[in-house]
Amino acid sequence: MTKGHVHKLEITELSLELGGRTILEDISLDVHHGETVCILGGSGAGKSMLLRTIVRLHEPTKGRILLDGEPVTAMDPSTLRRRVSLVQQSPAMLEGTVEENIRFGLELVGAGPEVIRERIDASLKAASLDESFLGRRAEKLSGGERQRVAIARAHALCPEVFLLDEPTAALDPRRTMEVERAIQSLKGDADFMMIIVTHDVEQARRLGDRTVLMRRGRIVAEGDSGSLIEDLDPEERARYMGELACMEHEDKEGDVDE
Amino acid sequence: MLMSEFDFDPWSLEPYGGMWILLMSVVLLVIAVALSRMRSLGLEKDMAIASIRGGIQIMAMGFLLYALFGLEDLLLWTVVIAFIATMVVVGTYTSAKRAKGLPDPARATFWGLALATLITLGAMLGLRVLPMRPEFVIPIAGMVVGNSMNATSLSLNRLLAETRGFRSRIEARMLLGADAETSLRPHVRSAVRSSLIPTLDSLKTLGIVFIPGGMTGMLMGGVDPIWAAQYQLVIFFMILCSGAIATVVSTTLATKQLTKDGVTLVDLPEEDEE
Repeated sequence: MTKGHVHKLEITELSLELGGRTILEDISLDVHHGETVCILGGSGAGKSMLLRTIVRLHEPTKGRILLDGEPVTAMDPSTLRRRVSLVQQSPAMLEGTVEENIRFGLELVGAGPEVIRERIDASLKAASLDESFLGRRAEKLSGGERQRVAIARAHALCPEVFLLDEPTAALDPRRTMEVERAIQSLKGDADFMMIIVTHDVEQARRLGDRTVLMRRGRIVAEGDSGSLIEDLDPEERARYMGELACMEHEDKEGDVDE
Repeated sequence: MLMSEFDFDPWSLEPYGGMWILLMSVVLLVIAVALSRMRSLGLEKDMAIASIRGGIQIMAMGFLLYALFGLEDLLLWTVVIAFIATMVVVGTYTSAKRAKGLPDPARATFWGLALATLITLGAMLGLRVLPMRPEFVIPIAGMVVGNSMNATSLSLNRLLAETRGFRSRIEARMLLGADAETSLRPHVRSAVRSSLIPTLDSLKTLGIVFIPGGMTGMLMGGVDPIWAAQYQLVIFFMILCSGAIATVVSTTLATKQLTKDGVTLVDLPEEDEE
């Protein structure tokens, strides 16, 4: 399997309405090859919906999303989703083993046994998993392991853009570190661009080259991951930190994973 | 003693007479209602309404057939076809109610039922299994439409429940590059399978656990039991075949409705409490 790469993902004046409610409003964002952008925001900010809209799980009401100048709405959805891979929050495992989960997408494109072998090896490594996982039932894995399987099965398809939705939400610190390590190793490969949705300011600092702050469906600030929050005026900053802390709390309460 | 040795009178209030059996069988209804009340199933009203509604309908059917069997050929067959069409239409809307949430449920159920009825009845008439006589065609069409309707309801209900319940897994398949139809396929398969299980179980235990209505009727009518058994088997194959056609067609159409141009899944409203 050969892979090209996207030079630029361009989102222009994007709006999304669902069931009469405005979910995203006037979002404009450019991401370049090799770059990792973190989208930071509290719940209901529209972060996940933005990622879902990029891969056409929702059709935008207004605005455009371009991959190197080509609108995603003009692309075949399967091709789009192979090039732009979304790993959802608490990703659902397919039935069967970890290996079957990774094979699924490869078999759809008619990859031969050797290519499949090779891609499985590479994607296990990329997701910090080892061969012992292959035979395990995916649904029985812990939250952190499922997250990494989801990264592996997406990676197997050689995507050009990686979209990660709250990759460590509801994980304890040790699992969070394991998943972050997998993401860092993906970044090391660097032949793609990545957008990571998170509500964790520290995580955005650790993983992002650039951070975008979202609130109620809009982008409210954008800048360097290290200093974005500090650069906000104190009142704004207090409000965001408060919202984010609330989410942190909800996560802990909902932590039934391990 | 064969029942057929009785001289039936629909209006008689003597034992075994038509009015007598109707009145006496209310005992069974009372038991069912009592059980519902005892266990707070909340089905008493439904049972009463269903019994009255079903009773009126089946009696109307009886009178209609009574009048029908006396008609001349052309008119007779026009009425027979109208009859079957009505069955399909009523089945269509009954089944569609179990598929609320689909953008156009009646479209899915109509083609399923219509094709199933047309193909199975057509084949059996063409192959000279079923005689071209209204007293055969109408009741057998009723069984075919009725059973296909049940199978269709079960399959669509299941398909919708799975689409709701496994939405994130279906989306996970789509995100790995599967088109919407492929992503739904395992759920379509389980929907069709589960809807055919009751028919298959009946077929498996045919003659041991239960003697179906058709054969019961034939035996009561004094027909040769061997021929009645042969015919019952034919009816079952028709039911199985029409069920398979109806569910495959209607779930295929439903799948198309569940995906927006094959790109994404439609938003399904929350399931109603049934």
